[in-house]
Amino acid sequence: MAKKIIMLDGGMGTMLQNAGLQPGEHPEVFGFHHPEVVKAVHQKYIDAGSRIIYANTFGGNPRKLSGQEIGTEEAVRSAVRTAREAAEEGQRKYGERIAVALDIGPIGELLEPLGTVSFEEAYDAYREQVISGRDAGADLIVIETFTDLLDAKAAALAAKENSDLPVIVTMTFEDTGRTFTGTTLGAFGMTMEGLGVSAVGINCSLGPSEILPLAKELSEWTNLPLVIKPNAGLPDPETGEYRLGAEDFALQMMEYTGLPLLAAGGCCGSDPSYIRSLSENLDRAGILRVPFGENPAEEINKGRKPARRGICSATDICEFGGVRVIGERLNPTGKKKFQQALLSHDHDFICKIALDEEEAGADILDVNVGVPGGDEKALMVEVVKALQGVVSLPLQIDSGDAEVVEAALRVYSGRPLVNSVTADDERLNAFLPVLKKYGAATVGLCLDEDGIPENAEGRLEKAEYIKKRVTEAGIPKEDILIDCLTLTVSAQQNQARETLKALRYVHEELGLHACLGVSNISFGLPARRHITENFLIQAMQCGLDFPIINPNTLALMDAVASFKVLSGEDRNCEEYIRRFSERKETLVVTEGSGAGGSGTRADSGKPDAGAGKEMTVEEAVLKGLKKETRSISEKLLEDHTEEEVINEYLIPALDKVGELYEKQVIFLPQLISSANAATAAFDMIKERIQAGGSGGASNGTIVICTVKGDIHDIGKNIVKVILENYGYRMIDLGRDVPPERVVEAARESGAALVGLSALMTTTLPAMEETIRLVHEQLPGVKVFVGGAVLTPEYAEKIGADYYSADARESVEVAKKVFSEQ
Amino acid sequence: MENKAASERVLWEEKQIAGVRLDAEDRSEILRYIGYSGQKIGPELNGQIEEAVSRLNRAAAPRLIASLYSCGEDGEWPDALTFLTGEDLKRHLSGCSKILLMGATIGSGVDRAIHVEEVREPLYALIMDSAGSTLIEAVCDSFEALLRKRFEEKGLYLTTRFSPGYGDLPIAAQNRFAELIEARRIGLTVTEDHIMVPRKSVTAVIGIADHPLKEKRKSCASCNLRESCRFRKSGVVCGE
Repeated sequence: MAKKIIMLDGGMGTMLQNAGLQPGEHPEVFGFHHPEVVKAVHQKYIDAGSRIIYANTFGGNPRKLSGQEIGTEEAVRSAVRTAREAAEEGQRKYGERIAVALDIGPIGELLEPLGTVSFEEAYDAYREQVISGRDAGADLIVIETFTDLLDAKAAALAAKENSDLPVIVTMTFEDTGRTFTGTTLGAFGMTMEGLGVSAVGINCSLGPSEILPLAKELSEWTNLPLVIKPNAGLPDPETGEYRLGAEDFALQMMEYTGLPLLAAGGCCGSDPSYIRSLSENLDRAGILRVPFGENPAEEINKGRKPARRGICSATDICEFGGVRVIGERLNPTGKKKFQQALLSHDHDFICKIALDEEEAGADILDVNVGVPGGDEKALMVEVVKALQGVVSLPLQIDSGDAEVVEAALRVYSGRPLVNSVTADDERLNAFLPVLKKYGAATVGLCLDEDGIPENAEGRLEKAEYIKKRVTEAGIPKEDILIDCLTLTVSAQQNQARETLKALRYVHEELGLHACLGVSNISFGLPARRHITENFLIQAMQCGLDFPIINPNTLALMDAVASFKVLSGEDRNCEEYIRRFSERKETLVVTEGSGAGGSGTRADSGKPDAGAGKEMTVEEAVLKGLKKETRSISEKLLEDHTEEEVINEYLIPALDKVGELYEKQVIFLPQLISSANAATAAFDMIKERIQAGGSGGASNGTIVICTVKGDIHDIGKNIVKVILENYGYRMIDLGRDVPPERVVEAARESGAALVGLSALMTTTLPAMEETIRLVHEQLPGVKVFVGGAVLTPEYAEKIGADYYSADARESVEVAKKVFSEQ
Repeated sequence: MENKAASERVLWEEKQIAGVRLDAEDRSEILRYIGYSGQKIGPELNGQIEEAVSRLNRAAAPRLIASLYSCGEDGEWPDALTFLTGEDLKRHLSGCSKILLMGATIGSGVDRAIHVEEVREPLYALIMDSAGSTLIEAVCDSFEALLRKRFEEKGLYLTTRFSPGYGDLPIAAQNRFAELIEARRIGLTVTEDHIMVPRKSVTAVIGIADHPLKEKRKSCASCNLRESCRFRKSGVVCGE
C-alpha cells in the first residue's frame, strides 16, 4: 500500500485546444507565441495538486519541428522557461518544490525495419531535445507515449548519455498488453530497468481501470517504481468525448495505491478537475502527496516481491528458471556458406536459419559473426538489426570484443544475453561497464589468460572470480551464466567428467546458471549425435540450464523435452504431450555417414506422397514441386554433369515456365512456386559443385534494391528469386537504400548490372539520382528499373539502360547485358 | 460539449471495424491484385492461398480513426483543411456541408508477418501482401457503409472516398493529414517520404451533403497510375 505519491499533471493538448490551438497546429509553436496560455494551464494543474509539471515539449524534436518557424532548441527553451515560471510561482504559493519535466514524445515515425528511420537518426533527434532541455534547466526527463521499445530505448539512451537528470519512461499499451508494434509489458519493464532509468509506467490510450491489470503485470517484471497517466476513460464512439468524469477517474485511480507507485496523473481527456479530484481522494485516504524527490524507491519497494528475471526481445520474454535452449547455428565457424553470406551481406540466408531455429523450439539465439575478412562490429550491428525484424526470440550477442558487443547492445531492442566474459581481468575490465550500462545478462567462461583449468576445481575458481567481479560491478548474480567448457571427448577423454563435475559445483555451490556448448563433445567421432545427446542429458542432470545446441537436431530437442518432464518443469507433461501427440515414432535407418549435421528433419529427403516415377524435371518445376524437382535432378546427376542438368533440364524448364507466364497460362504465384522448386535443385547442385572443390561460377553479379525512401519490396524480391534461378549472383541491398550504398555494393562486388525498384511517384527522383550516380561513378555498369509507377518511356527519361515490366523480363535484360560482356 | 475554437471538429475511433477479416468471398479480389485472369489453380496452390489468407487474418488488427468537420454556410472549408490542395478534391466535395477525414490501418503485425514470409516463403509474402491490400479496403468499405447508414438516417448523403495521391491532391499531404486526425492513436505513421507505415493503411476524405450526390466512381481518366497500370494492360479495372 502506497504511503506517498507524487502528483503529476493532466492533459495538455485539450487544454490548449480550448484556448485556441488548432488541430494539426504544433503545440510547441503555439506555446512559443502564447506562453501566457501555456503558463495558465500549468498554474491550474499546480493549484490542483501537481508537483511535477510536464513542459510543453512533447513534440519538440527536430524531426517533428522540421519546416516549422522554430527549431528544437528554441521550442524547448521557451517551453521549459514557461513551465519554470509557473513552478516558481507555485512554489512561493504552496511552499513546496514543484519540478519541471522535459517531456519527450516519440518522433512519430517508425524505426526500421517497419519504417525508414534508423536507430541512430532517432537517437540524434532525441539527443538534441535532451540537450536543449538540460540546458534550459529541466529537473527531470519524462519519455512518454512510446509504442516501439527500440524507439523508447533510443530516447532513454539519449537522456542518460547527455544529462544526469532522472529519467522516467512510460509507454502506451493496448488492452492486449502490447503496444502497436508488439512490445510486451515485461520486455518494456526489463529493458528499461537494465538501462538504469528511475521509473517506468503506462500512459495514454486507455482509462485507469483498463490500465490497472497492465500495471500489475508490468510491476511483476521490473523492480522499478511505477508512473501511471491514464486517459479519462475511453472516448465515446459517437462524439469522440472521453467518457470518464473527474470523480470516477479519481476513484479508479485509487486502485493503484496497492501498487509500487511513484507518481500518478492523467493523459488525454483529463484536465485540472481530474487532478484535483485525485488529490482530494488521496488526502481522504491518508496518502501523502509529496514533492519530487521525496518518494524514494527503497520506501516504495519495501516488501515488494523481486521481479521475474530473464532476457527478452521487444516481443518475447525468455524467463529464467528451467532449461532454456540456446540455438547455436548463427555462427560462421567452419561453415563456408555462412561465411559467404556474411561477407556478401546476405541477410536472408542468416534470417532463414534463425527462423528454422525458432520454429524448432529454441528459446534464445546465439549470434556470432566473426569471419576472416569481415568487419565484425559492422556485421554484428547489421545482422542484429536484420534478425530482430524477423525473429521474435531474444538474442545472445557472441563476441570476445567489448566494442562489438557494445555496438550490438546499443541497437538491440530488448534485454539480451552476452557471450562472453572470462576470468581474465583485461576482458572483464572492458566488458563489465558495457554490460552494466545496457543491463545485459552475461555468460562467463571458466578460463583466463592462462587457458582452461584442467580440473573442475580450477574451473570453479574461475567461476567464483567471475561472479565476484560481475556482482561488484552492480550486476545481479541471477544474470550470470557460467560456461564450464566442453572439450572434445575423443581427444581428452577424462575431461567430460571434469566438465560435468564443474557444472555441479557451479549449480550447487555458487547458485549460478550454467550454459554449455554441448555439440563440441562429439567432434571427430562417428555417429556424433549419440554422444552429444548423452552428454546433454548428463549435463542437464548436473545443473546445465542453458544448453547451446543445434535446435534442429530433433533428438536433442526431444531430450530436452523429456528432461523437463522428469525434472518437474513441464507441469502435467503438457509440453511433452503436445510435442509428441502427433509424432509417429518410427525407426529410421539412415544411409550414409549420419554425422551430426544441421537440419536433421523427420521428413527430409523423402519425396512427396504420390509422386510418379515418370515425372520429368519440367513437370516437377511446372507443378512447383520442390522435393521432386530436387530428387529428379539428383537422379539425372547419376549420368549427367552438373552443367548439363542445369543447362539442359532446369533452365529449359524455367524458360517454359516463363513462356507460360507470358501467355497468362499461369499467373504470378505459380511462377514463384516453380522458381522455388527449381531453387531446391539449384541449391543441391551448388552444394555438390562446392563440395567438389570448384567455386561454382555464376553467370554474373547483379545488385538489386528498392530505392531510397521506398519500402515496397515484394516485386523486387520476386525478381531476385527468378534471376537467382538463372544462375546470377544476386546482391540484395533491401529497401530504402541510398544511392551511395548502391554504388559501393556494385563496386565491391564488380556487378555489371544494377536493378532498381520504386513503387511511388514520390520516390522516382531517388531512382533517377541513383541511376545518375551509378553511371557517373561506375561507367559501363548498366541499370535496369521496374515498379508500378514506371513506364518504358519514363525509364528512358530518367536514364535507365533497361526497363523491365516483371520478373520474366528481367531475365531477358540480364541475358542481354551479360552476353554483351 | 463541442468547442467553437477547435473548428467544430469531432474526432473518434471507430471500434466497430475491429472484427473485419477476409473470408471466402474475398478470394477473387485477392487473386485479382496478383494478376489472376482465370488460370487453373491446383489443390496445392489452393491450400497455400487459404493458409496465407488465414495467416494474414491472424496478424491483422484493424483500427480506424475519423474526424468530422463542418463547412461554413457558403460551403467554405474550415481553416484546418486548407492544406488539402488541388481542384479534384474541391470538385469531389462540392456541395458538401461536412467533411470527414479518416485513417485506417490493419496494423504493423501484418508488416512483420509479411516480412517474415519474404524470408521464409516468398509465395506466402506475395499472397499475404495482396490479401492485406484487400483487407484494408474491406475495412474502409465497412466503415463507409456504417457511416452511410448513420448519415442517411439523418437525411444526409456521402461521397466516395478520396485519398492523398488521387488526382491533383499531392501525396505529400499525407503527413499533415495524419497529424490532423491524430493517426498515432491507431498506430498509423507517415515517413518523411509520405509513405504510410504500417504499410496496409489508408487515409481518405469523404464529403457529406444534405442532398443526393451524383455517383462519382473511381475512373481511369483521373488516375495517376493509368500509364503503368497492370490492370488496364490486361483489360480490367481496379474499381468495380
